[in-house]
Amino acid sequence: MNDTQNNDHSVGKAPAKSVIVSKDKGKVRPSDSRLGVLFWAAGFALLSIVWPSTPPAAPPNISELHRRFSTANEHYQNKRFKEALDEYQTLLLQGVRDPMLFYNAGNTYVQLSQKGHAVAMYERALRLAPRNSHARRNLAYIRPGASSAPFVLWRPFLFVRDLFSSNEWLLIADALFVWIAVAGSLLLLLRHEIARAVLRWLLVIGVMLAVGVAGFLPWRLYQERGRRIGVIVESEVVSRHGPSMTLGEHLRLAEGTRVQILGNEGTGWLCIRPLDTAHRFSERSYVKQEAVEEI
Amino acid sequence: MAATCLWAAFAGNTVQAAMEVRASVSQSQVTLADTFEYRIEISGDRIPEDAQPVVPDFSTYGFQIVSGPSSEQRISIVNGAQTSTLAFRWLFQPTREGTFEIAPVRLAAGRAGTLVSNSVRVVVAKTPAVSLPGVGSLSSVTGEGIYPARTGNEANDRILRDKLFLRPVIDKTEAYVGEQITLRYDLYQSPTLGDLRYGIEDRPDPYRDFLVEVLYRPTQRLQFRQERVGDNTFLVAPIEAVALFATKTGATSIPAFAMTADIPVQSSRPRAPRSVFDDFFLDDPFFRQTVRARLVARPLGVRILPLPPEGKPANFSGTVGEFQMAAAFDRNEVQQYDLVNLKVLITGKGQIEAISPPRIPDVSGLQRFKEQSSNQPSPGGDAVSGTKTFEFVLRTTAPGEIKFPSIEYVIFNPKQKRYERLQTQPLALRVLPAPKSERPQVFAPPPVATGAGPLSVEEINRDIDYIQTTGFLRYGLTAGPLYQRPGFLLFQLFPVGLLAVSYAIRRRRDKLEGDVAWARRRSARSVASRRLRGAGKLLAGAEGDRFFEELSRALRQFVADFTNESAAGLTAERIGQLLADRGVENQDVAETVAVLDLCEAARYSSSRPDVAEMRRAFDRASELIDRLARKLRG
Repeated sequence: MNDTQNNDHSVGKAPAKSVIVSKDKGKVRPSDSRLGVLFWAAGFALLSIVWPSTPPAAPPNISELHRRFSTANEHYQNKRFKEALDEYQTLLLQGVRDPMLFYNAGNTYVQLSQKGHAVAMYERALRLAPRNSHARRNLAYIRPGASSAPFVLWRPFLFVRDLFSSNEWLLIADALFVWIAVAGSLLLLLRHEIARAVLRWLLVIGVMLAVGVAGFLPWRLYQERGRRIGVIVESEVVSRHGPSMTLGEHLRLAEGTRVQILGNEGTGWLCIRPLDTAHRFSERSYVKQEAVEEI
Repeated sequence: MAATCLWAAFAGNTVQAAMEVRASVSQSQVTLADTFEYRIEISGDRIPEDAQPVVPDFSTYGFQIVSGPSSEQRISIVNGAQTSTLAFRWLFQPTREGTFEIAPVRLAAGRAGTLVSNSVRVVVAKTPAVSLPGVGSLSSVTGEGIYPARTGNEANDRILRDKLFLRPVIDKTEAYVGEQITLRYDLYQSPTLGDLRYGIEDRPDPYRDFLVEVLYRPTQRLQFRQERVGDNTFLVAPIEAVALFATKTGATSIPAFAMTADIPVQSSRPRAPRSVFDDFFLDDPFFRQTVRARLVARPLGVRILPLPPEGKPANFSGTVGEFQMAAAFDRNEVQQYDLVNLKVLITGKGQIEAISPPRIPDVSGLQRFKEQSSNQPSPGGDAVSGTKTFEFVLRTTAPGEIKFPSIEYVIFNPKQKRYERLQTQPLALRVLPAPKSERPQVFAPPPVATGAGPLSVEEINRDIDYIQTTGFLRYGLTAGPLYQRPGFLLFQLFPVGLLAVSYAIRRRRDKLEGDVAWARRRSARSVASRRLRGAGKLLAGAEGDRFFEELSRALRQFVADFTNESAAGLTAERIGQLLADRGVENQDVAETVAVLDLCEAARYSSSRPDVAEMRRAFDRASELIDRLARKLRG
């Protein structure tokens, strides 16, 4: 390559925009074209899946919700628990799913001596805000000794799993995803050796953390949404060996006991398995649907 | 009596041809002592899994659910055609006589609309009461007749009429809320019937409006005693005795109590007996069979009265019964800062567990520490009775003589039909000064400001944590799963896209650096364009020599870049050869050589070229480069 060539163009630079009106103008090279089409097709497919098909409902008035919540709290402070519960229930019926609302409703149920409903509310609060120590303490207060202590080696894993809600785990996973993508991109583009060494370490750390999160995220998701959990809301419920009152009695379930709902029998009966109990009670049992409140 | 099924024609208007719903009963004519089965059958080639018929409110007909609903599903395949049948069954006990038309059942069937079943008629007749001499006196207690045992065979029923029945005994049919009602079911059996096997039918929640204390239930064998009724002697055994405490006012009913009795009979003998009960004492087990009889004690109506508002003291806590109250300290002399127990005993008849704690007056020098209670029911007897003990742990805070006033507790006495104030005797307690050396070990010194009791941190009463009032809606309105939010999902494209773009840039860069020929070929067109742009400027300035030089250089450089040759040494012939080697048509090769020759000739010509000629040369060169670019790339 001689001087002329070197003056004429520099290798590696993006070509300047042509002034020639050409029939090929705007035509993209085949590899670029394929990549672009794939990219946009994936984007549109994702949009069509996730975009709501029905127009969203009118958002509730936030200040009105706050006012109602304050009114309910005032009722509670003045020991008008039924009125407080009515207000909390109204908020729940409006679709508000707030851990504080569940917690306060749980407290109100405790004051009204409805232990089962209270447990259900606290469990809901803990699903959304697993680090809510008040809900944990109240749950332990109204249901002392309900859950047996797990095996000692399991405890750190359970602690980490219950440190965050599934949404928080998703956000952590997402942040790590971005971290890996940025570190990987810079590693591809940068030439500076020190910067590349740092980025390599960052990438390794990000991948290791992502592997850890990939273990906890599905576990927590399964805990929260992968199985149907209910709470016995009637006192001294006797479960049966089958979905009929004529069948033999099986278990006596105290109010507030957590159960896993295995199926709906369609005749007003639920197939359940009690949780937090000894292994010998792990077989299927049947209770009336109205005795269980699904969380 | 043979069961009569009322399979009626399907009456729905908006129906799916492949599905139908039918309702039927096992007996269309029953008595108050009978039970009957109500059945809904959904049949079709495909029944939805969540098919749930909407049934009428059976309580409006006075039908009490003995069992059910239970369901069963059958699938039959005939000649490849599948038919499914889903059946729901209830077992009912009628509680009042009359003719009842059970309303049609509705079933939502998706697009087919709503399926409607037929209605079913049931006639409930009064049960002929037993008219045994002497039983009339029992009837006067219960208010109505006693139902005889039923076997489904009229001849057997006639014989059993005076020999086997259940008798409900209730001590009162009108009571106050919280007052005890004692209910007992006695089984009457003629000694001639021999040993029978009995079973109690299950009743779902029979005493739903009452708190129940079981007084008696047989554990193993029935305890029979002999009782004379008129001229007949019966073996009588109590089946169940309960104390009921009503929790709400108004008219309520206690549903029928039912038992089954298996009566051994002989049926396979050569000589047919006149009745199955002709000879019960056969010893030959080969000829022995049983007939099942059903015994029903009629439902009982009870009226629950509210407590009278007249004379109701403000401090009435809701305790109903006949009670006395007493109180005492566990010792009369105690040292300062020591704990002393105050026991309050409430003894008598009534529901002991429901007694609420009495209010303890605040007394100077005594600090309430904690309280606990215990129940001691008195065994035996039909009346629930016992003692409830409240134990209040008090701490003495100041030395001296403490006069503890009487404690007052208000109850309602249903026997006297009035409110009563129970009062304990005033109590005395002597508190001795504590030795100074002991004080710091137990408690901190008393506060100077108030001069009251010592400071300490202790839990008086545990309770739940208080409600939270700040931070409402911090997590948003719905706090639903993130993976259902479009924004979150779309954001996932960002890291993927970032990686993809970075990878593409890196790949391109590597190729540009590693493949010079490719890099030159890739930029050939843009370099030629730049030179043509320069030539265009010279065209406007009418600088002929420089214009043709630039035009020639653009064409040469373009071919050199595309063929990865040095532009400096390229002659027109060499260019023509290179283009021909790459499959360019002869016409374009000739045109290229011609344009290059034209440029050379114009550069070294003595005459000045005109602008029109320069324009034509520029257009030819531009079109030629376009054509060559297409062909060389293709």
